[in-house]
Amino acid sequence: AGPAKLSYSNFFPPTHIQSILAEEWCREVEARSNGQVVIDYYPAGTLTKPKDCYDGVVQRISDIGLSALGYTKGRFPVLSGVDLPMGYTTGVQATALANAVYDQFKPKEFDDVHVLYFHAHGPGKLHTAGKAVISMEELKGMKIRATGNSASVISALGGNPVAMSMPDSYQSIQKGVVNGGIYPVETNKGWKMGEVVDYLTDTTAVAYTTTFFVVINKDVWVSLSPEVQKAMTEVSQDWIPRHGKAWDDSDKEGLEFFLAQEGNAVVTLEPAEAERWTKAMEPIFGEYEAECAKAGADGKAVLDFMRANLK
Amino acid sequence: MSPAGIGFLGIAIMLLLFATRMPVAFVMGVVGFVGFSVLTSVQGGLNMLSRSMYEVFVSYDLTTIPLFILMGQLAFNAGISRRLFTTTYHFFGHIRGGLAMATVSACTAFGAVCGSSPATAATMATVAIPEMKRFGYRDRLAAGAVAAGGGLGMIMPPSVVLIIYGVLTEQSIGRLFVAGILPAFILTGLFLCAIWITCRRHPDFGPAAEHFSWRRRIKSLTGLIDTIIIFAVVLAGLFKGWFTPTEAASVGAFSVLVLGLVRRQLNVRLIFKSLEETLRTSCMILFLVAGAVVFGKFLAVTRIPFTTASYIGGLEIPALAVMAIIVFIYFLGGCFMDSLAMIMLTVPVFYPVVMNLGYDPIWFGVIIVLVTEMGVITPPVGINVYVVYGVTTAMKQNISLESIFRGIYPFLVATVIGIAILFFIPQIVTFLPSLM
Amino acid sequence: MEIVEKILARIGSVMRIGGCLCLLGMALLTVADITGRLNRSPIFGSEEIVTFLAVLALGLSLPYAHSHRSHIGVEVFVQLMSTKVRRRLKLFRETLSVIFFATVTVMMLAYARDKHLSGEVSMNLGLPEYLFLYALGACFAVATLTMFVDLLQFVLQRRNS
Ligand code: NA
Ligand code: NA
Repeated sequence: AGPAKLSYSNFFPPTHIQSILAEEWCREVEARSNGQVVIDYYPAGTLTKPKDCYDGVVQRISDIGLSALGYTKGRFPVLSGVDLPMGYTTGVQATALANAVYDQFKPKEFDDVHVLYFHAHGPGKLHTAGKAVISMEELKGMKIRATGNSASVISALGGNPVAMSMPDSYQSIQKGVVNGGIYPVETNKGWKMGEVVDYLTDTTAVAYTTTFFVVINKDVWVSLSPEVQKAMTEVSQDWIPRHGKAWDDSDKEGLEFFLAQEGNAVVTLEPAEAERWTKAMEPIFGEYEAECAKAGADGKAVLDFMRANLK
Repeated sequence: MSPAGIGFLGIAIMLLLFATRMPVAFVMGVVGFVGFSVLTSVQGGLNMLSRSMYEVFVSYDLTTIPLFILMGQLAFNAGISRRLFTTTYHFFGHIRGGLAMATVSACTAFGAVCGSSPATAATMATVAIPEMKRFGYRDRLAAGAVAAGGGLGMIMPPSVVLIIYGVLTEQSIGRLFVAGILPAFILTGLFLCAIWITCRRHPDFGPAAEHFSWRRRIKSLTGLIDTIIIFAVVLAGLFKGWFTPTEAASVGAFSVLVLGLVRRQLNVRLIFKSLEETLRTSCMILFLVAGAVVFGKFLAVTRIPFTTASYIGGLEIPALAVMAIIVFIYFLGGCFMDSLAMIMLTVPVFYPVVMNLGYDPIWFGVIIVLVTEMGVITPPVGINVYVVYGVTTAMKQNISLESIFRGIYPFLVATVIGIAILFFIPQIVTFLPSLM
Repeated sequence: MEIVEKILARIGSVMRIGGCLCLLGMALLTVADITGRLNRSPIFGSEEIVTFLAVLALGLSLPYAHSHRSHIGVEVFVQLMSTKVRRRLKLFRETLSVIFFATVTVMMLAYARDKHLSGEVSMNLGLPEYLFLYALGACFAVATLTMFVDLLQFVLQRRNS
């Protein structure tokens, strides 16, 4: 009956390293399953938009999908804990943690698909235009582009989060509609934000992440031969560290791009101030535990596991 | 049958259904949904349909379309556009096609505020077409100028297409914007020439009026006051950083509303009339976009765009020939597909090819915007043409779809000439960014 | 039949007024957000509300847009046909349109249910987005019914004449 034909949907533009990795995943699975499967790859949200990607896999609009947990708030009450400001230092670390949390708790929110793997970007940091921020007081009243999870970080620090799309963000920071943004350092190059911001507050005190899932439709998974299943599982395991390293490499390039712009500078927090910032995050963790409780899960156990894992 | 074969069959069925006078948006939706189901699964097709339509309705960027139309409707019902065009008529009425030329220039000016091409076309159609018809202009010229002029809103920065290109190819969006300015003016100039030539050959398309005395002209300048106030509020706000280009639509509509109420040109009845007309036109336009999105998903799973792009990339022929083929592919694709979706699919494949041939990345970006400009006016799927048709039908202007498609030909030729000019004098694009 | 038509027309005009208010709300809310931002107190997530208002505005205008024949088609070929062929084409395309709208209605309601069950809420404000989807589905249902009644009228008239 010829090879099984699958589709893979992803929102990253095809030139983004994360998209290139995803496409390489497809080709590697094809090779290791000895041609028993062919995977058509659809980048840039051509098949499903980031918000609809997971649901699209459940409903078979695409067979495989890669997107972020954060786009569908409330759908992943347990694993979204990985997105919290845990003080990440690298993408490799955040990526490893996301997979570890899933393996440990196997949250039932993923019961409607078969999970292949997760990855997560490097530490999300505060970037500002015009004025450097080295204390919470300075952030007061500033308008910072942030969405979902990162918006609560800005609120907790006393800033004003403004939600807007990435294309709008560039122009908005340029024109002063907002005074900066909180995002991973790679975005300086990826979305050219380095051109319009001036200062990077380089601290991991409130560094959050965004977790990305790679999942396959359950019925499709069951229909695949054991060889193909084995190939997918193995390639996924091999790809986890590659994604993490790619995020870190992108962050490095993002920092270089940021510093190459005239007048851009990196500022840091005094240790005592950094501690204040970390302390200010406490309500966010409380909210997370409450959300987990609503879904019948133990949020505290997840937080404890993550903290122990990051030590 | 191969997926590509099903794709071509789908296009043929779409054209057949168009001929039954079934609404264009529904045809694209039906064919896209059925084709997608055939190529993937019925479950996938059914769910793709609802999600794609909702994705369009809930898109924040597309909310600019109803809001800019509302601004145009309020300006129309408050008489602002009528006064604006009376003044314009005093100054340019004696030139054949002078009002159409003024309209095209106004599209470019409006483009400095608005980054989307259907929004520009919808606003200008509301404001300018009834006025041009009032002064005896033919449907073909009036509607063609607005449909084509709408595309100028996309070339003049800010531009949604250039932002997407910049992200796909890792080029500086700031430099791309600056690079778009000169070509926008050149294309405006070419459009003015197109109108001039059309009116030379058909003097009755845009009849010339008497020459007004300078006394009467200066007296007529009072008709500009409202327009200047609104434009000043929006532009000042944009440059001062009070709001984003997406929000400019709301600010524009709100300013017209306040101005109309203060000057007692608007009342509750007229406001509701404007709102109703806006709703009807917006519903029509967003259904068209939704239909195009559904059909685009079907074309994506036929893999025709990907296959074509990688085939061209592998050809061993002279650089200029490859570029000509690429432009032609975009032209053909733009006939059937939403241009933005096509750019997302094909730029990543064509871009390395074009770079290998030694072309400038910023230059290629501007070329892409120009070919997109063609896509929005070419039949059978030319979103700007449908927008202009929808707006004018809602305003009972009785312009036929065919006359608009006929009216865009001079502008299509002008765009092709524009692309040719940029081919042979690429410095027009690269000069300004090189100063940065 | 006439009663059904009257009720539908009534519902349609109420929906239209609702749509107008949503549209006005979009502009006013954005201006309020900008004003707030200039005074350093932006309305967080206002663009989320604006997009939901847009969904409502478009949904509520569906029957109105249909009854005013706002959705455009290509006329030129039909004009070349005889009256008899034209009537058959009309029957064909209207039937297909009703089937299309009915499909969208059912799938939109199914989408609303899926979103509801998944526990998903809007990204910034945590609003129950599925409610807007149910509303949109209901709007599509009214539009489908209006189209169906129109089609029925056309068939009956044909039989009588
Ligand atoms: Na523009
Ligand atoms: Na076209």
